[in-house]
Amino acid sequence: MKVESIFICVFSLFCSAAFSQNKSEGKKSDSIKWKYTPNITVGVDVLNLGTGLFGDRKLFQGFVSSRINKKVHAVIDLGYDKNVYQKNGYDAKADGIFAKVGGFYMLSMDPENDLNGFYAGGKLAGSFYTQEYMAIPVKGLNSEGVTVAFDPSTQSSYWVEAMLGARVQVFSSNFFIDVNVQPRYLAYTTKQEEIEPMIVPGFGKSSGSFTMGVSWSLAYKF
Amino acid sequence: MKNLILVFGFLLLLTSCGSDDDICLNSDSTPRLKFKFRVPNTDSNQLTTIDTLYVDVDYGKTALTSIIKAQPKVDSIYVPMRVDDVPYTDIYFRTRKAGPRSKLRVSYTTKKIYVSPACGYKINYENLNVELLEKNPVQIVESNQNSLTNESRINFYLRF
Repeated sequence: MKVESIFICVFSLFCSAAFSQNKSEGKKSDSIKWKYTPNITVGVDVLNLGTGLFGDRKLFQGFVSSRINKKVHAVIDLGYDKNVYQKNGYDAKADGIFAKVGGFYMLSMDPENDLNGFYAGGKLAGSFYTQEYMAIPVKGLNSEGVTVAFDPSTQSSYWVEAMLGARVQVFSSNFFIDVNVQPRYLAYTTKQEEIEPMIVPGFGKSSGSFTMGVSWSLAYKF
Repeated sequence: MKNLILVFGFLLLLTSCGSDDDICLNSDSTPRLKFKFRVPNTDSNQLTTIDTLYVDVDYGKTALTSIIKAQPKVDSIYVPMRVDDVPYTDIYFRTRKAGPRSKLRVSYTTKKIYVSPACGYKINYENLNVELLEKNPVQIVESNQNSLTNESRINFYLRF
């Protein structure tokens, strides 16, 4: 956990140093009327890719987004997450894929480059995964270490998430840095023997049904 | 822009009070056996108190676990039982530290019940059956409630 935090700190410092850009020469923002032309931006979350090296959680995720009008972008996320939960007598693991579909709205845009700016949006997400609870504690006074175990099973969970972030062009290349936070609310989950899942791939620790995700992606605009 | 920061701050606040996945209240845990005491050497149902009581329980560890140590003027006691797969719990009673010890074996069938993420499972006991394996100081055990799903009812009466 500590190593992970340190990594995130160093990572952000490094990135802000490496990519802090001297204001690029601006191309004048084009016409008042914006017309849709097929466009696509593909990004990979590098922050979580990096933290996966240090922690138990391996999270790989990326997105494809497309600008569909002047201020609105549609976005699809895909990912794979593998995680363990070992706390309070629990010993569980889960891994699986997840997908998210949604859109975001540019709240403020850089007048010189309207792909730069802050945005807010929302997504619907679903996760399909295999979980195994090797131990769930049985609580009783003076009796420690008594647990119940279950066979692996396949489950699915669904949640809604908001997103708040910023997208910045790296110099004048086609690369973008996309940073956002995603507060999530777990709406529905299938259960094994009525057990609330402790971890849901793509969602995180799910016992409280509210989590916050952070992603830091490097994106390329085609 | 300022609004954005406010919204973001608010969301962060929400996450910080979002989940407490490690607090399990005692009432959601496995219930304990409840004993009361009746006056000795009679048939009357009148309750009494024990002037000094020691209670030890065998949880399958190397040594007995002391539940009650020299408690004066005891009118009722709660005894947590085993939650593992052994179908009985042995409970030992003494009225003096170096005095004789009674051995009580409570056998039962167990049922595991899922409570919550924080509490995990609790055990409910059914078909409680009591055997007084070693008399003195306890003379007689009387059953009252032979299932244990919460702590509201008295399971056994003891006569010393």
